[in-house]
Amino acid sequence: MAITSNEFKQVLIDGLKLEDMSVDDIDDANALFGDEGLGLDSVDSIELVLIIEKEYGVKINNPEKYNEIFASITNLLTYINENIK
Amino acid sequence: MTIHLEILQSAYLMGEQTIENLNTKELVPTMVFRRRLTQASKLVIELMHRIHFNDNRIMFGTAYGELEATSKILNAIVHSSGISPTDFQNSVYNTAVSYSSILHHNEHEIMTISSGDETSEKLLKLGAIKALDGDEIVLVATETMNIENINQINHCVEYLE
Amino acid sequence: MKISNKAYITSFECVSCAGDNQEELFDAICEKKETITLNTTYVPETTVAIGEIVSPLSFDELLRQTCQRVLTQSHLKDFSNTLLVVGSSVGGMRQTEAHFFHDKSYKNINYKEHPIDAIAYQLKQIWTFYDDISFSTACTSSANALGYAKEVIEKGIYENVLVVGVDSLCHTTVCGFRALSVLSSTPCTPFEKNRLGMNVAEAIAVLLIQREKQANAIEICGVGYSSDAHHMTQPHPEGLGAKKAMQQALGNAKLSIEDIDYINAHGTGTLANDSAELNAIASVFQEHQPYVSSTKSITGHTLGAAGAIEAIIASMCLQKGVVPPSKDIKELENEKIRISNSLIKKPLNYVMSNSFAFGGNNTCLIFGKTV
Repeated sequence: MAITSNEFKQVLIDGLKLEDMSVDDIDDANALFGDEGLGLDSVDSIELVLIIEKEYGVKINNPEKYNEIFASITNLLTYINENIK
Repeated sequence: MTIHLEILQSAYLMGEQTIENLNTKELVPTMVFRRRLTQASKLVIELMHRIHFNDNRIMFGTAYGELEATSKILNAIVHSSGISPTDFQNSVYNTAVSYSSILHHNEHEIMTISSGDETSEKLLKLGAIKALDGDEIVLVATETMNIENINQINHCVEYLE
Repeated sequence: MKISNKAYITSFECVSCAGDNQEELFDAICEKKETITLNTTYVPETTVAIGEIVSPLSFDELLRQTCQRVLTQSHLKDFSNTLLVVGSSVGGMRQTEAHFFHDKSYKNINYKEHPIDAIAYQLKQIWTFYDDISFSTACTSSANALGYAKEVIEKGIYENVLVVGVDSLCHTTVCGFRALSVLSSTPCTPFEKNRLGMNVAEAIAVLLIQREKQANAIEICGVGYSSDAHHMTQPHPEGLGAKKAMQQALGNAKLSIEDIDYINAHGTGTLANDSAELNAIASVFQEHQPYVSSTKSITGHTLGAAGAIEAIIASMCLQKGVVPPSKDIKELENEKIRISNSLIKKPLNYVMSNSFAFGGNNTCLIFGKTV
């Protein structure tokens, strides 16, 4: 069964300890990293890889595609749902 | 050698279990920065605010450092679960003053010492020697021992923070 | 009256993955020996490259012996008139891990043998020191210890300072750096464009700093400190904090960029550090380029001990008139930097040594030959 956006966003909020944020505060299409986005940094990208592996058993093994996969919630969710067993 | 020092400002915080009612949210409005702060980091930020000094040289002392981050790493190793990179970056003894330096864009010399039960005393000596240079220096020490199972090893310390 | 004594390194000893003493270490550097080994016991299901000391003696015994060798070499009868300054980032963590992994509880951990102070605590069981203090600023710990030694001698507060830079390998650091994705599974290649990361290593580096000059002494001419105020683990990409520390050190030593013959860089082999550091060096040393190399290709990254072991290397470069070779860099990260893959023999006057740490802590030391 596919992971929904809200489910995933809650996992993100809990895993990255995004205080006082709710799923409604995160826009699916917006950038996650950098100052223009949510403000996540390189340490968050590593944490995210760990969280996604732990929660969904999905490994993100291709560093060349990182930028694309991590660009937004939509992209991440697509990748997870494509690779979840 | 005798060195005479003048104390310009001072502040302290203590808690038997934990120190509550910190103004961290106000002092650190950026959430993505605030969420990573260790308790010791929050204490340093609070204390620096109370004494109104945040762009000076800082000398920091802590006997046991970041016990929470350290214990999370050790437990992760024992249970073969992934170590959080945030926990590792938060486990160095100079974590608390480093966060303060980033928050306040403080590019000065910042030192951290750790000398067991004599940490505070040696921090004062260090500060005195540094103060011979003529500038105003912040001396700050923290201890944050309120971690799960600390009672397995702590049999005498009453104030955990 | 302002006291301004000079601080001299008069004897030193070290143990590392490159050998039982500093002569073996220096030979390993000059001959580009293979000193980094592969290990599969620290990180589950993963091979990592580390710098492990090979010795039948325990780490504690090696520490004791290294300090004893320095004492024996010196003119001191004992350490009663010596300040002990330790620089360490792990302290007694290895013993703590042994207890905790076995018991799954803290109950048998000796609180005096866990923290950074564990090193001083151990040494004070053997010798009486005038006083002691321990610095713990991650990878600048022993560089800061050396800077402090210079300061207290300069200010006429102590006459003798024993600087002990020490970090043992432990699961926390190896697994921790792995968690940050900066570990390499092969020996590190600092400043190589396609570098893969760092090698965690262990070392014991002990130096005696004195007010009184001895033959062949090396002077600690200058020290510079700064904070990046940028990020906990990423250096400022342009190396602004590193630049500031280098400039402060030059100012403190009353030297100019033309005086520096060689820079022993922090050069860990990580993508972030090496590019930031080279940017900083290129920015400071514009009209004059000293040789630059990182000896971490031989010692590995000894964390809290790095500043001290690299001070020993810098001292030996000055004493022997040798610029150590880089370990066969094929494609240099920054073309503005002067490196040599061959050993260069020439008289050196001043060597700069950089150390940078988590939290953006930067320390730069300058060492000088005495006549």
